[in-house]
Amino acid sequence: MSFLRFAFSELLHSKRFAILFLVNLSFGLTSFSALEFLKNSIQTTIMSQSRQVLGADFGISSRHALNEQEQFIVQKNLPQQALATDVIETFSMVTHGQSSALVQIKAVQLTFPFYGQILTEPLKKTSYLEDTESVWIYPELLTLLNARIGDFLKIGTRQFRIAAVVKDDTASNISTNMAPRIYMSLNSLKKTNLVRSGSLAWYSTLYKIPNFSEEQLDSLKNQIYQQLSDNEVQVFTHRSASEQMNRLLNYLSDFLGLISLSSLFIACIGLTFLLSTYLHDKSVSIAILNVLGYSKKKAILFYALQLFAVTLFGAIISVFLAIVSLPFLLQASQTVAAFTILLNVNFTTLFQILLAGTLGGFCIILPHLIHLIYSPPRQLLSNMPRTHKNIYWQLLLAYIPGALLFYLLSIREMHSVQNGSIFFACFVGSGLLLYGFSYFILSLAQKIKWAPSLAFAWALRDLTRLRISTTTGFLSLALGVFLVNIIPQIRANLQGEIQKPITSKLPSLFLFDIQEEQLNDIQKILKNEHIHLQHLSPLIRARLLEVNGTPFEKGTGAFSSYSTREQENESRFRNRGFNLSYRPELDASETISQGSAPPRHFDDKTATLPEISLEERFANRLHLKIGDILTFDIQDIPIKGKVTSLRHVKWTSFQPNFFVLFQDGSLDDAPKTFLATIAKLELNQKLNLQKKIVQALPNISIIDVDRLIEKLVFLIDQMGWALQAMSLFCILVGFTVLLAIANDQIRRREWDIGLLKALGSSYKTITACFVYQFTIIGFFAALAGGLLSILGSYIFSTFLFDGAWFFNWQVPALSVLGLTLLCPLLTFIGTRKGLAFKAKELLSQR
Amino acid sequence: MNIVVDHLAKTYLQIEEKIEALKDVSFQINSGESLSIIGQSGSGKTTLLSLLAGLESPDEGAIMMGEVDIAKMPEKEMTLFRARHIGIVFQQYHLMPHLTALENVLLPLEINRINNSKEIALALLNKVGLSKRAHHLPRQMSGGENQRVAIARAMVHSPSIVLADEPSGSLDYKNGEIVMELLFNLTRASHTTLLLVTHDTELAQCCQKTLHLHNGRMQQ
Repeated sequence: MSFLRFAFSELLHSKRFAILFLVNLSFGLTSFSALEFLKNSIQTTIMSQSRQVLGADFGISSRHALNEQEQFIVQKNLPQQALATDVIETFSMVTHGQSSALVQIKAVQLTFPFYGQILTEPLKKTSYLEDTESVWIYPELLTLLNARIGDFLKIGTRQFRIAAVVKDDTASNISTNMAPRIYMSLNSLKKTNLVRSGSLAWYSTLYKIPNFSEEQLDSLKNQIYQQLSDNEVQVFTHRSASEQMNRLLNYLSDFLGLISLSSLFIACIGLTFLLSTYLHDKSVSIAILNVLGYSKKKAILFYALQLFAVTLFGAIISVFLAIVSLPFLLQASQTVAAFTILLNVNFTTLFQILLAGTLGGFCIILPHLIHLIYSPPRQLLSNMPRTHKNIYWQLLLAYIPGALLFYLLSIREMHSVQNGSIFFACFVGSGLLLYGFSYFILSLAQKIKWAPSLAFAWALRDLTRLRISTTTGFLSLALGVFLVNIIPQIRANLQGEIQKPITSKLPSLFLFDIQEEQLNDIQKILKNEHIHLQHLSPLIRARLLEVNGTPFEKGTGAFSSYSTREQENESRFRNRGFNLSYRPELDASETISQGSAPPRHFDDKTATLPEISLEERFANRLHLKIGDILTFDIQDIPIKGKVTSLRHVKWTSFQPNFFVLFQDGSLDDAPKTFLATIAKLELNQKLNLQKKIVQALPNISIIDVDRLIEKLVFLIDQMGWALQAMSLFCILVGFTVLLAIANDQIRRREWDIGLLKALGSSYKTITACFVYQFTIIGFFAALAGGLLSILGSYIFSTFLFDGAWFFNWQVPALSVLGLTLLCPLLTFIGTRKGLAFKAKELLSQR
Repeated sequence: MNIVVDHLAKTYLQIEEKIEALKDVSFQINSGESLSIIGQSGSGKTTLLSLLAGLESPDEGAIMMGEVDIAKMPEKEMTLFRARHIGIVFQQYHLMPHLTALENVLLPLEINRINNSKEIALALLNKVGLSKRAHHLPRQMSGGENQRVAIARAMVHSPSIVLADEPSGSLDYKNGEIVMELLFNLTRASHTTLLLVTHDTELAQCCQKTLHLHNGRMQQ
């Protein structure tokens, strides 16, 4: 017990160190902890609510109704107690008077949903939809269509009465953000004549399977899935369906994870600095313990355990702070979630956080312990500065666990080896770039001969002489500023890309489900309005049967928490049908990145196989390359083609674009529907045209691109808000690191300060010297971080997003101003005690 | 500059105990003279030196330096006075570790905003025999060399008074002799008043006057 008492009293005598260490560690860990809790809350919610979200235990879904053989396979595998209900979902335009809107139609049977509820006002049962030709609508449709309960809506070729408004729908999901939902019965949908060959529709059968465990449901899913030959048929349990629906949420949490990791890393820089000083001070104590009979290793272990205890305590504090900040994170995440996320804090997550915290603490402490272990006793007793001679390799090895932990956490947070590695490399690269910048600035500072005051001259000199502390403070702040700035920069670019001005080439309306026989009719309608149909593109549904004669493998369809995003994407792409198209020449939004564009027209007399051009990322996901022979199934007719090029597609053009393009003339006879766009229109013109098209050709669906962009911008804003909040936390960590460094610097230089006082330097000059130092660090850190964020956003926009780059100067300017003003204040707070050091104590030192 | 110390007293409070570090100390030293202050550990030597340097204020008495009673001076004024008129040599040298020898010596000149400071500093470094070490850091020099730099720093701004707190205490015999000889020579040459705290009775006899302290009081 005396051992513990001694350890505790030692810490009490180093209160400032202990507090700064705790603050740095807990702040750094808080965002990481909050995110772990958020992920756990999401997982728990998925597990508890997924049945209600799906409305069933199990489901089968496809773009076509299952054929007899497929139905047989399903029935054969299902247990006897399974209850079934059919659902068809599609998109369509609906009109009421002069107004029209795109809606998501969900046609159900009276048994839907098996779980959860659709609460309506006035209160109705699903059977009501069966018995009457009526619909339930989402509340926003009342406004969009200027309608009331009891009014009639024209859907397809029929009129339906609005029987009720949906107040609560546990089966809502992210797709209802794109278009509000209407519920009707399956019979009603048939009467609308909306669902035709090639129409965009999803045929699902949902099952209630009582007394089946999760493992049994997963096993059933895999069983049926393997037996079905058609890739397009999706088989899912309630849990896998919910996980799939929340892809956007997953991406958000991936990025939040990166920022939290960055905060942690920045905090680690501060902790390293604090530890270095603390253990350096304790080296004499270690030597004394050694003299009293403790082995050096035991003495060092004593301090290691002490620090371990502080780290654990810091991790515990971070947990509490994380719980406090969790509601804000939840709110931000809710906008992209398919269901209400329930806050959940459990012991497993708690344990994981504490483990990460203490493991991370160990990695930080290790290099310093190596220093102590290998320092000769004479050096420890004299408290001399330690040298790196002869322990270079040991030190390098000591840093590896920390670097490895950071790398592994990056992969874990990104759920992707590729992206995690890129992040790690970028983080290290940014650090090196910033280090280079600081080296350059310090080299320039060394050359400055003139200074406006003595304090400024001393400040410049100290900055250039004490490079390690200068660079550490600079790096911590600059990285924090970089993260805080890059999020709004990227957001500004995304928004700028999406919200292009009216003179841009973005369409006003996007039409789909145009039947071949309707082309003339729609051309006529548009001609009367003096409007042209643009980018008219055929869409042919197909399945990929073979690649180079080998059957195309289905994805496993089974995701676990260990799946990477690449694996999830690949599996998803393997388990779907494809939309093929053909065109005589490339669209303006496409460029050939590999190979050569197919000749204009396919001539079956001269060529054996039509040429295919694939979108490059699509090809990459499915491991397809130039030269591959692909066999597609188009309504049971196999069609072969040869991949001769890969394309780069600018998806933000909102023009019809396809992953797979066949050579023009090769698929003329295939059954198809058409997509097209209409260029920028004034609002009234747009509404008028929409109404005319819907009245004449009710099966054609129309997306209002302007409204879609508004919704996307809103989503981006919401996601950006969450990312921004995390980034601000990052800069807060940067400030605590600066505070730690400032305080540490003063402590290390107490004697210097006392000496200056003894030599006759005024308190004002000494204070000014330190304030100047840290203000200069803050200013250049903010400048460097801001510039790096601009560069980062440029790279992101140009190379990753393939868009125009929009320069946002406000946030970087604010960062530079804010940090430059805040640094003097922080320095003053951090240095007060040190500056009060009595010069006379210099005389008592022996 | 003459120094007259009159009935100086300083008491420290530690928890509930009063410690009389100095009691009724009076002496006088004329301009250009040297005084050694000798006594055992705890006799009040350090306290007396810190009072004379103006690093703290006495509870009673006066310290006249020239015409000025520094005991009653406010801290700001005292700092300015110390910058201009006093030089201090510490036992542990207390050089700035990240500054070169030249830069350490320049510090008092910078504080006093004296022109041609570099030339003055170099000249003094030359006097102490370290002109070739002007651009070396303290850790690159021996203890004796560091103390010589400290002496140069204490004298570079031509102070009226130099206070030396056991300047040879951390050095071996040979280096200690070199350092003390240098200190005496420089102060005599510039008619600087020297107050030297020491344990060494032999060294004390090198000064013109000696003050014995015992338990905070003067011993006759």
